[in-house]
Amino acid sequence: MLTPSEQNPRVTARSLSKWYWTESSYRTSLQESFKRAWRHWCGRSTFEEPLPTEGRQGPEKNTLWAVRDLTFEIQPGECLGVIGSNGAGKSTLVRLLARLTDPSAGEAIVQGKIASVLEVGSGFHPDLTAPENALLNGVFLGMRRVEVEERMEAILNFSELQDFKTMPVKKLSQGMQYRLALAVALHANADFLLLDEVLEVADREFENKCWERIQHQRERGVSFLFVSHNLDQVKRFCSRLLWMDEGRIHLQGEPQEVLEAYTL
Amino acid sequence: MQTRIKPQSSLPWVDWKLVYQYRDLLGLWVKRDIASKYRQTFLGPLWFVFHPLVTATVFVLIFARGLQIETEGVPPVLFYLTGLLIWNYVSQALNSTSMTLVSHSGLFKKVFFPRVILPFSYCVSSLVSLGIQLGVLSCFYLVFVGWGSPVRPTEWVLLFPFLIAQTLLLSFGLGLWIAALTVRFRDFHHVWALISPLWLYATPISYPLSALPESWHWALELNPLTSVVEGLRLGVLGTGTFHFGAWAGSVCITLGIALTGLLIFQKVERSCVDSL
Repeated sequence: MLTPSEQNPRVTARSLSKWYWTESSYRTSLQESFKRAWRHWCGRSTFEEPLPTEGRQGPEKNTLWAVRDLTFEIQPGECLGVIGSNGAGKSTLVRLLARLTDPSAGEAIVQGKIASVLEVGSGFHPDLTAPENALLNGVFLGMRRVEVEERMEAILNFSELQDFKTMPVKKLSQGMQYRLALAVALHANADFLLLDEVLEVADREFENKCWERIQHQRERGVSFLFVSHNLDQVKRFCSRLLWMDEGRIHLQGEPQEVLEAYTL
Repeated sequence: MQTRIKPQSSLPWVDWKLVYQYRDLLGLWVKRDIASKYRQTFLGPLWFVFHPLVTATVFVLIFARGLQIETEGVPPVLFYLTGLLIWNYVSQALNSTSMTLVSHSGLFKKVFFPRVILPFSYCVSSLVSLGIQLGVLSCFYLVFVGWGSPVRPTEWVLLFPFLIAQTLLLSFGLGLWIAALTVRFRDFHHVWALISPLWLYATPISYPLSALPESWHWALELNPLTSVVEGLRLGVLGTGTFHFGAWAGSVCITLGIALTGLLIFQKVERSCVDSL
């Protein structure tokens, strides 16, 4: 049941780019700030030498391109997997689409509500119970309080925590907290869900459960962006893959062909 | 609903539509803050009874007995408790708001939500201890009135909710400023540790404004808390140097601090995630 507006891509990214200051030059103390202002006042600019435009060197001295010129689309119901070695820019891409940081250039347009899970259990309070934490977590994911309350039964069933709902979460095992956080995320009423390396620690049984839930959501038009180092999982969950290298898109396409090139 | 993810504008303003969407977070965070403050503490909210009592006792000993500062004919304990009501709220609210960006950096790196909701909810949850202190003040008030003290509230007491709202807004705005400056310059909390006690003594809490020469009043009235404290005492205790001109000025300064605070917080909150 696609409405006309959902015929548009869920996500359209055009030349999405981001550079970061490398640690040393970002002014974090008053002293450094005064020094810089003084040098500027004396007419000595901090950026004198011409900068290389090749590689990951950013537009100013001591800057680095984390991701550069990312252009891609994600269709409704699609699950896009992002693979690449450490430092390839996968997490920066997720942080940009999750609106945690702003791009330096380019733009992305997202149709519908965005929800993201970059870390399992962010914002959990150890003294609150599972339902209380689920409520807070659901609101963090962009739901109204009543929406989470409506789904509470389903969330507790999914995470198998029905019998533990009066315990503070600090008394629950790591695995239980993990299942709770993921259950809330997979029951969010978002149209675009970003999952950054959060499914890797799931056991086989819970992974199957998540897979079913994600399929169900995808049939309803929800899109996923899935970052993982587990290639079997990527193959199982994703309908298309994006291979990132040195901050740029190296290859994108069918999972089969991208994985073949990647593992070569 | 469509979201455009684009480079930061040079003067980012609060996305009120988004804040409205996330409005449930306010109540939940207030609840979380209160729960985390009182669960597992031995005396719980009782701390907020002891704290003003101890400070008021010290003030009575030093300022009223020792230095013989006249409290406009009001029993010194009531005089100090009324002023401390405001000061304790401000310092408590500032304590938590000003650390928002630093102490929640982990959360800010991982979870998206309109950041301003957090400092605002701290200002709201600090109202709980204000309520407790108001209870303490009321008890003392009744005891003193029963004992034959001539203190009586005046019609100015109707200003009470407005003065509290103004104090909340002022703490919010100032908290945003300090939060932004602390995350930008890590040494700023030393600066604030210096300014904060000076501010206490520049506010007529341990003395009445009328104890100072009239030619000094304008300087003290630049401090937006002056009119709040004097107005509150005029309402509750019936004595105080309060006029609408000075109050209007203090409201303008409060609004100015809140607006600029929002601006600088918004600016820093977007860029700080990259450097935290």
